[in-house]
Amino acid sequence: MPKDFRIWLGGGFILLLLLAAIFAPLISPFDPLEQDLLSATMAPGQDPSHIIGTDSLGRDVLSRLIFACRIALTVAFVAATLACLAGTFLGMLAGYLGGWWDATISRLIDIWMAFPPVLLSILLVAVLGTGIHSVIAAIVVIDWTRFARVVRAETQQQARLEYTEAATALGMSRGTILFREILPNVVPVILVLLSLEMGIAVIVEAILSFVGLSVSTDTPTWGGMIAEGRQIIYQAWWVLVFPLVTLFLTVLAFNQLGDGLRQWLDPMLKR
Amino acid sequence: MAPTLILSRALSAIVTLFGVMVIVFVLVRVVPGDPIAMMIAPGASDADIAALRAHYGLDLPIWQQFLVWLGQVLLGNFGTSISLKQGVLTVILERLPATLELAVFALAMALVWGSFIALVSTAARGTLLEKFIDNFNGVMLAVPDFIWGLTFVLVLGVFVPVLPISGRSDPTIDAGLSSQFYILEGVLRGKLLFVWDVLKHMLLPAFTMSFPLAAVIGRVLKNTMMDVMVQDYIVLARIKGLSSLRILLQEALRNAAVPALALTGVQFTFLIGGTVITERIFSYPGIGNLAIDAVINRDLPLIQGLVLTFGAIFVAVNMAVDALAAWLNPRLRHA
Amino acid sequence: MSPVIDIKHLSARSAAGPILRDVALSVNAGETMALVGESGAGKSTIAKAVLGILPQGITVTSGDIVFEGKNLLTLPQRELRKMLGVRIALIPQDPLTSLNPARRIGDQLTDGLRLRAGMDGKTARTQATRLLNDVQIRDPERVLQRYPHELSGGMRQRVLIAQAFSLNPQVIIADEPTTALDVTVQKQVLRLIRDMQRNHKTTLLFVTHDLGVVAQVCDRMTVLYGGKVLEQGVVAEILQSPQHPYTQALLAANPRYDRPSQSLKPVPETVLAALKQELSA
Repeated sequence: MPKDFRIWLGGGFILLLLLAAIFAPLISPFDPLEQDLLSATMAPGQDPSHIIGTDSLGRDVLSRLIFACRIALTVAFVAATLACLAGTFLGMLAGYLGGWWDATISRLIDIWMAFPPVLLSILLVAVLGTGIHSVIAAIVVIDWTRFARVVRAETQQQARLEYTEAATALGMSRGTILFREILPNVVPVILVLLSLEMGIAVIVEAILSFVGLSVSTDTPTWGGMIAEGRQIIYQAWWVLVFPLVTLFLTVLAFNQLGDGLRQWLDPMLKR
Repeated sequence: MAPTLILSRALSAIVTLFGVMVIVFVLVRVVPGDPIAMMIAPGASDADIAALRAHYGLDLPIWQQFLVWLGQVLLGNFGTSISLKQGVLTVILERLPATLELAVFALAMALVWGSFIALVSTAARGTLLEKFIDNFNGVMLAVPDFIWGLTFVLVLGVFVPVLPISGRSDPTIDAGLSSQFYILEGVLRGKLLFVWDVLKHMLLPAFTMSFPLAAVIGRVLKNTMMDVMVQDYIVLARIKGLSSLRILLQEALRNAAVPALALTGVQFTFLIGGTVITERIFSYPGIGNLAIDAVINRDLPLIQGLVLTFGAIFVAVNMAVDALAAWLNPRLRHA
Repeated sequence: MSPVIDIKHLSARSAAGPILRDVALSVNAGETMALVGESGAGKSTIAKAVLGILPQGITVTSGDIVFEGKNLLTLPQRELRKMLGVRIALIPQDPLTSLNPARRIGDQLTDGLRLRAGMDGKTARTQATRLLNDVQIRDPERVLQRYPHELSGGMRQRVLIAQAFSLNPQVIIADEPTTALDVTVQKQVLRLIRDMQRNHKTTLLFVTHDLGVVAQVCDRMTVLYGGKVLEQGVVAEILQSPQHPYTQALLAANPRYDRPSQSLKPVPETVLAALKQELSA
């Protein structure tokens, strides 16, 4: 059992969000899309049924916040996992096979990382069109390098260790060695990166929704809510504040989880 | 720098730029959406559509479209923006000064702020203050600029409204400038009140963009400073009786600056990339904000022009950083 | 004659154990005093204690270092800094690492002249040119424009010697100033230091492990082992008839000390064993 409180704190918050996303229709006090112009821009507490207020169209902020967890977590889990798979695969190839493979993949990573991610993601969304698929694709295309770079170095190190040489001497095939012997030893590092990447994915999705390049504005997203809140900031600050704080806490939770995991798994890495 | 080195740097810069152009062009031309379809009025005839297509050169084969475009770019003609119905170059040149002034201001802030962090925590090494600064630095780095920017909007723009959070200058002030370089021209013409207003508008966005960069500069500079501070020539400088401040600034900073500077170059390109979001948050009329509108409108000529502009800026920044690093490190200069 | 530097009962220790044991040492005006010993004998620690640059982890447990009527060990940092460079200077061990790689020779050499002696830039430069002439550097104007990496090790050490003498200090500490140099250059630099010391009538504290150097340039010597002073006296007398068994063994092991060598030949184990017993008692 990990003793690090950051794992529990971060993981606990994410679990909470996950439950909120799954049971959103059950726990939301209102329909997140239901407009009620008579009760528009009501401050938190002004009407007891709208706990944290309403937006300019009279929609319940809390309900929208809860439903927006769905997009945020979907993007976080799917995009981060896909980026992880692609990056890990290429990183292991480069690290284990070396030679021409390593040179090509490493060069690709260098070129990729020199390009500012914001610009690349905007270009990609411009090409792919808006929507959740494009957001996920943009994150995967940009961030596979984070995994590839670390996994490559880690694999290279593992491939030099004695147990790998012993396996080679036993006549195991390269594929078997890579997946049976090396992969399990690289997994702790990948887990840490995965957690951090989810935090990044949440932010990227929020930014793209904020500028209107993510899902259509009908679907509630934290970024979309922040964009609305920014426009009516002098009339209704709460429309901006609550999604912003939630976003911040979510990113923090993924970061803390990642850091906690790193600390916890570290002694296992140093065998 | 030796002439051959300059030549090879310039050549690689050209290759990089050309690569950017090709990639952008190819990417943008495989867009599933059809920009013409968005422009035509309902009920337009096929002939009208074909004429429009030919007008924008969209009926030619891809490689011809690229060559035509490349030739036009080299002649200074970036085409016409589909959404704004204006020359792309005109539109970009009108907005570019705002972004350049903002980015340079942010860079200056990040350098001052980051060096300050590094110098203070190096001078305070081994004390509680050093620990405090290190932790503060960690927070600055961990929170993304998107969240910083919106937090500044809320705290300093709304809750304690001390600074403007939208636009570039107060629209009621007409300074009667002829260029878009508000600060540069305003200072030259002595319109200091106007410059002060523009600076106030720039402060929060620049602060937002400088935060992550300042944190990175602070961390790297401090680490290299700590390495430098135990060198023999620092000890000798102390024995020469130089003051601690002089040792820190004159002896250590310059030697520690080179690695930090190399990093600043890379990070500055990220800062410029960050203008896209920051300009959106602060409704700042620069090319970053323009880029988002271009993407929303699927304005292909404008997107290409903008990405090329960003690419050119990145290449220029990297070359400038190389030159500066060579100037700071005499050993590199003769290499 | 009253001593210029008077060290009394100086003891220092680190976590690993004692570094200096009740060291007493006086250096008279205008003389060259050698501190001789193997590495770890404590000779560099004494030099660093005088300059106030003891590394972290080494603490002085007792004793005084009196210079011009003031105890350097209890002097506030501010007061000490006023003396450094002006009244006490250092010729460092390694010329390759002791000059700032990012600053021109001229700028570094004139630091003291401008900041401590209050000269303006032009006067300081003229003075620096003269100093480089004194240390026999040809074409001094051009050398002032150079960066350290453009000069040889011997040249750099000459620059550092010029820098040490630039404000005409009362005392100069030379911390193995020839160890890092080529054998051929060593002799020239050694002669230069001796000539400069005589011209300026400077008091020199010369840290070395080379008996040849001691014989060539020093008036008196102090033999150290394990942080303890074993023998002290006029160089010629000690080399002729050493009193302490360790010094005797050291001289016996290094009979041709008039020839340059990189390090001392070790003393027989039997002598060392007796010495260690004496130290731990």
